Amino acid sequence: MAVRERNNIYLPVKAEVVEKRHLSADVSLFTVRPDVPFDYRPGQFFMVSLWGAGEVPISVASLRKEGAKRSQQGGDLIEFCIRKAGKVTSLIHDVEKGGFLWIRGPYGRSFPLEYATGREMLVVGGGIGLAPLRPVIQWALRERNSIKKVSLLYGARTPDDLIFRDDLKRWAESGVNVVLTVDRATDGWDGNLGVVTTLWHKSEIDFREAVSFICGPEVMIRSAINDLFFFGMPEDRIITTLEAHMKCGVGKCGHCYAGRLYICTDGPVFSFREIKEHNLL
Amino acid sequence: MIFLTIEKARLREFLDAVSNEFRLIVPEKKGKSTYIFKEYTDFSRVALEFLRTIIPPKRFFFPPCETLLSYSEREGLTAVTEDIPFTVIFGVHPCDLHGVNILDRAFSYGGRDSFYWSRRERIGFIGLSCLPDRYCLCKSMHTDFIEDVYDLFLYTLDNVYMVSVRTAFGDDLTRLKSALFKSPTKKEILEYKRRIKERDSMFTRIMDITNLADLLTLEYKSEVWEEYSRSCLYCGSCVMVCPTCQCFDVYDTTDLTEGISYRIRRWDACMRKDYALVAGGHNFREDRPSRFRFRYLHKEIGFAEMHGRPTCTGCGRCSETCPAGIDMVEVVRRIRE
Repeated sequence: MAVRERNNIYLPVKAEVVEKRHLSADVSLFTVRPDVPFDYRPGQFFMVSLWGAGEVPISVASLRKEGAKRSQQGGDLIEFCIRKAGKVTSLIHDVEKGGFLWIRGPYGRSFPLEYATGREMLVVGGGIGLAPLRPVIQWALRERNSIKKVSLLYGARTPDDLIFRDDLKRWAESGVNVVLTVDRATDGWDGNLGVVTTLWHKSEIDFREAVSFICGPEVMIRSAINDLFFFGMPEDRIITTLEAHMKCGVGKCGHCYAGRLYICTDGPVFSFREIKEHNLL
Repeated sequence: MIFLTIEKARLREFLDAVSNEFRLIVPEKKGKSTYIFKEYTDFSRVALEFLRTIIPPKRFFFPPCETLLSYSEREGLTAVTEDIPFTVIFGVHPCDLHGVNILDRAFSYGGRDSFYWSRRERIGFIGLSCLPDRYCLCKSMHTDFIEDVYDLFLYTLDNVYMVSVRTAFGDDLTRLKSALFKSPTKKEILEYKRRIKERDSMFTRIMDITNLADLLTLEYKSEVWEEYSRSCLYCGSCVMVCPTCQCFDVYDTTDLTEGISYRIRRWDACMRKDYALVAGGHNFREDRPSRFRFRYLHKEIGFAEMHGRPTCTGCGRCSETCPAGIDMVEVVRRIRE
């Protein structure tokens, strides 16, 4: 017999796609309106699914509006930035505006944004790794009076792979020190070349005083945290978010086990101190 | 806790009474020396002196494959929780009862798993004492004795079973046929004590787990992992028969004619190559040694640091089942060398 249980942790909520924006050849931003409101913070993720395709963990790419109205039509908008990378995400990419995704969450530990209060903030991103950092920068701009300076180092494979280009422009206009770089230039690119970790000198950050938030491919994270530690940034203030294979998001399926930790419930946000202590990278 | 006794010759009457009220699962002989848990049909088929079943009792509340959710345009979203009849599993040994306890913790951590608990809450256990064979490792893992999880536990004596009544449900079970149960005599108590001592001296297989977590950490890069990873077939048999392996995969299928999608979970094994593979092609444990090592590290350190005890119950199934003849005791001995 089938029974519907309301507190079942695996039950997803229907969310209408109200906007779908192509950010690059294989990355799209899905703006969804779930049937019920969710409270979430930057760095947390949802299990996003499409019936018949499956579930994947996707971090939130938007900042929840403070005191957002919980209207009767459902919750406020949530944005998910999804790269066509595997079977499930490819099928999700076929969903257009007006279609539906199913979400459950939010899961995991969020970025400790309060560390940035009264300090300088350095944001380091690579490729689609900018997605979970976007709400961090949005938060910093909202709290600009209490944050001394915001600097963003962001790199991608080619200029076309740089995502959130509108936001990058807007952030630069709002006073964020935005430094971009690409691995391979295409016609019309006259900016930096090479990986983000060659651009520390352009960050205009006092490494010893600042807090850093990092997300990108594993090699980038690895060299970024080592460099920042070498420059004197305390290991508690070097913060990154890790990726793992996940099937449940709630600390049971075992796939994201790392040492004594579950990436899904204990992470995905970790400080360099925790990464060293638990041998996570 | 109350102690009672029941005459061995009258166990049939008791099990018949239990099976009249509940679905009763008992150990039965399957092959020459293999046993399985099966629905009770007749007392003559019940294996009273057996070692381990091929698959531990976990499959009754954490089945190898189950549908979690279904969705269709017409019916909407449904959580498929099976309404199982109240079940009593008879003949569960201390190691497997410890295994149940470990799974209970794993499926409660991070939020209650409705699918697991909808079955688990409707299962009672009648434990049964056992004598070790050459694979039994419970003494080393401190799981040779159990004082929790079960409802009734039967200790085999010469003419009677000494029955430990642990829960109110266990008490209810004895009341189904209360005329069968008596208070233990002084002689039976003495015999119980003698049996414990005898059993204790029968263990031939000892694994020294002193400082094991430390040693595994120190020998993280040991060539022992490399060496065993060459003979391991990565078939996952050890995982399938383990009473505490909890890992699962979740995937969707669609019945196109009915237009219904199902979200299904099934047992998964950490040594499979794509276990830690993420979209885009990065694999956190691609090489064979790290996949072989991971299971040991999780069982002896990872889980222990989360829940305060290692997950190995010393049941001996993995060593007995491994087609490549890999013996956990031998692996640990090599690490200890």
